[in-house]
Amino acid sequence: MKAGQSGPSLDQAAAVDGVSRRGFLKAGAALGGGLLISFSLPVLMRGAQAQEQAFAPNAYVRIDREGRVFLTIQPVEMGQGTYTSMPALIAEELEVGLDQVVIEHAPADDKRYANPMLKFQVTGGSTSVPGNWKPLREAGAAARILLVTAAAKQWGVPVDHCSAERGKVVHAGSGRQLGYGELVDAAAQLPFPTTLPLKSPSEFKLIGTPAKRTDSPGKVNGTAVFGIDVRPEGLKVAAVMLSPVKRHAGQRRSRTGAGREECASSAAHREFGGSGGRSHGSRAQGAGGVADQMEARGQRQSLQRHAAGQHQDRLTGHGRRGA
Amino acid sequence: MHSLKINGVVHQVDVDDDTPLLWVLRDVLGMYGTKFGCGMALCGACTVHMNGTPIRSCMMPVSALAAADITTIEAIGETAAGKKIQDAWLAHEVVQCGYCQSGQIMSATALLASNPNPDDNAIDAAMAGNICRCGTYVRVREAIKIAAGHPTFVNVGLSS
Repeated sequence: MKAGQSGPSLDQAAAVDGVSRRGFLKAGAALGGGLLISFSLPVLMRGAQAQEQAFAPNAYVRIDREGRVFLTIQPVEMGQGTYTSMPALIAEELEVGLDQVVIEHAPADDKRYANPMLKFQVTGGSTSVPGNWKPLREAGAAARILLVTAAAKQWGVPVDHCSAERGKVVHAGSGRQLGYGELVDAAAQLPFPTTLPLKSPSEFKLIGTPAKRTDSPGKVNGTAVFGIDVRPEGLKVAAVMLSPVKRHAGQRRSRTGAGREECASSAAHREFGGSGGRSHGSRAQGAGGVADQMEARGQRQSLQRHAAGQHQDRLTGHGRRGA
Repeated sequence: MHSLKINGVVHQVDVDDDTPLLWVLRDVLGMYGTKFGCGMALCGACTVHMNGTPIRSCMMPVSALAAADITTIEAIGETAAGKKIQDAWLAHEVVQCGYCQSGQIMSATALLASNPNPDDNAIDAAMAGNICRCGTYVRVREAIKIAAGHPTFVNVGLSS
């Protein structure tokens, strides 16, 4: 790409409100070296409290010294394509390919990762692209401007003689080029740009074009992590246990009858505690149970078999004895 | 103690005889690619191969697998048919949410390995036990044909 074709030049930038812009975007030195762009997604301003929230970072773009772009983003990939559309927004303005972006999911944090339109950390309502459309592009643009500026300073040439292309800054006049990874440390020392020019739609290379889904490979080879695959420390495993009384013993008891509670409790208690004895009615807070992730594997497997649909036979046996 | 040969590796697992294979894979061995869907062999999400035949691991007790060669989604790409299926899945962008796709790919691979040129009826019969809430069925069928080199899809091409 030739100079000036990578997007709007800095001269073309429309003036933006410096104060609120800084609320959206902050640049600084990332831990371990690299350029960190943190940005908060816009919140609907409602008085002073909302104004303060706009200063809280919501997601992060990190570029390391190898030039890899890490994007931490709030919307969950549920098949709707957010792990492709969100990276495309930032890659478009940052002038990197989707193949150069590493996607990292945001941790659970309502304050930092609230959905900009729905006000809490949630994915839904077709809000991901409308809500992130501008802030993610601005984050990409901010990073690109800093990187291009760093290269121009290093070469001693005007910024608008340089352009960005697939993770490199190019000086067309001399043919020199520097990869983003070579520029992140210098870029992190620069003052934050006061203007954030965004491309016009006619300049889009990624937005509005077909793209391979970034989540497909992991979903084809089994490495994709779904909710059921997450194993946080201290995870509890719960399973619903059905009372066997009504269905198998033919006994009709009232929903609140002590007999039914005792039955369910007895089965649950035996499955859990393995005591084999009858439990007290006071233990019955509902049919089901919870076990620690790492303790008593036998109990856990028992629970899992319940989840796997084998609960009826097992509970029948226990229930009959218990009843 | 049970001895299970999974993806070419023999594992000794200390579980009850009636423990379903699925939970050995996921919770004992930490292989999360095989998914829990219904737990009653109704949805196909947990499909793995036993000696090349697709089975529902959620209902298969480990005591029945002593002499079996088990293959899961983690290693299916090492087979010729599995590689073709995975490549076709990517080339045709079959996946939507993806949760059922491990099972879909295991069933499709078993089909392609036994029938190199399956027609619609054969595909429907082989894939009938794999449910997809996103409704990727049309692309599943087409991707199997792509993997089989069906002339209708000669222009799709595989990415690798």
